[in-house]
Amino acid sequence: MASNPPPPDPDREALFEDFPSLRDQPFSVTSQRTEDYNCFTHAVGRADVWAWPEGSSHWLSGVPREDTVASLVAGFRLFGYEPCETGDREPGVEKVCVYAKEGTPHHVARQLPSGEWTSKLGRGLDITHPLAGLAGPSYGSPVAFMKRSSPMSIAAPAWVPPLCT
Amino acid sequence: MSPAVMSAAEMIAEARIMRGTAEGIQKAAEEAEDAAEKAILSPEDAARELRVARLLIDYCQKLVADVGSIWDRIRRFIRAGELGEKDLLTTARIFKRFFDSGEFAFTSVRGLIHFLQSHQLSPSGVAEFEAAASCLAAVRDDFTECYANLKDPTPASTVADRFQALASRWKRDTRFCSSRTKMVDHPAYKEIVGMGPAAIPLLIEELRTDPRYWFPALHAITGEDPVPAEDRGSVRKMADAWLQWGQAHGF
Repeated sequence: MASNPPPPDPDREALFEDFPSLRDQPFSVTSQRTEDYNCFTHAVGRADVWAWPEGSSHWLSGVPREDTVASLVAGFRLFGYEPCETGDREPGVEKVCVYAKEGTPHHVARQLPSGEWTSKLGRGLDITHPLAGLAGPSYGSPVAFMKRSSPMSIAAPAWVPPLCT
Repeated sequence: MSPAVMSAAEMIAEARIMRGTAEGIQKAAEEAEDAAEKAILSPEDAARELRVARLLIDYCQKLVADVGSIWDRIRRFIRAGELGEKDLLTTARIFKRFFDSGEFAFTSVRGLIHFLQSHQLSPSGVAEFEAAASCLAAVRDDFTECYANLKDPTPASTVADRFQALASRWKRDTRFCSSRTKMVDHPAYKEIVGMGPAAIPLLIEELRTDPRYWFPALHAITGEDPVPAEDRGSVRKMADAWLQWGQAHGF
């Protein structure tokens, strides 16, 4: 007798609603939901701060609090990243990318040594995914790539707390 | 019976007594001022008028403390939808008359104080009296706003249902959002802010059960920001600060 199919996982179903490309892409969930950090801090290796170039989040000293791709790129520079052309895997190199829609940034992701990407999805989960998996109506598409040598030892830049609640 | 478990009827009775107190203060202050104006203000007259003024100032302060406390509790009953239509009307009528009497009472006491000051006899406690007058005005404003809502009441269940629908929509639409500015810019979030004070207890309850970024909404509605600067950014710490604020304000 054939067994019943497993019930749909609500977390995965929620992902498919916002990221329909994930239905056809291999991906895995790697954390619980949390509001302690977001995609930017996940990309730069912190799990205790919510950071975005805006007044109501932590942000980096000396970088404009403007919700622009340029501000995110300037933020990544403080961690040793420099702009590059593609998100293709290069041995010995760590990459990050910025997703944007109509010129406004919506997400950042970091490449793993395997070539896959790791993302913290807003207030939701961390997932490992192909670059194209998150492209779509929610985050737009990758518009900027940056890279640095791996491993790179760099002094941690200064974080500035939110200017308002 | 402790004030925390007083029934609506008992609180209304207490409000009635305060209304009587306010009327008494007004009468006493007017009589004192009349008597003082007629008196030559010998040392004995002056000492008596100063004692009267001091007594009235004390009564004014106590009255404001009492009315602040009783109004706070009645308001909670009103917002929870626990007052019947008859009680609502009675409450509104009593408080309306109370604030009229209270305003006259403070005006009369202020008249007496000014008279004594013009004779270089400043009674003690004038600063406390003025602080009490400001408090009374604040309570009266709050009453006026609440009374306006009473005339066009929205059933509590409807408010809660509407809030839940908007909150669910906001949570769903912004669950994968990394920018707090974009979260707050969502139409459902703005609509919750537009619900005004009715949304406060619902927002506080949300913070208690499922903390999210509701802080700008609470700030926009209340005009307050209880979050210490060092706790900004941490949803859990900001939620704790607002929960304490909610407790202190009876939510």
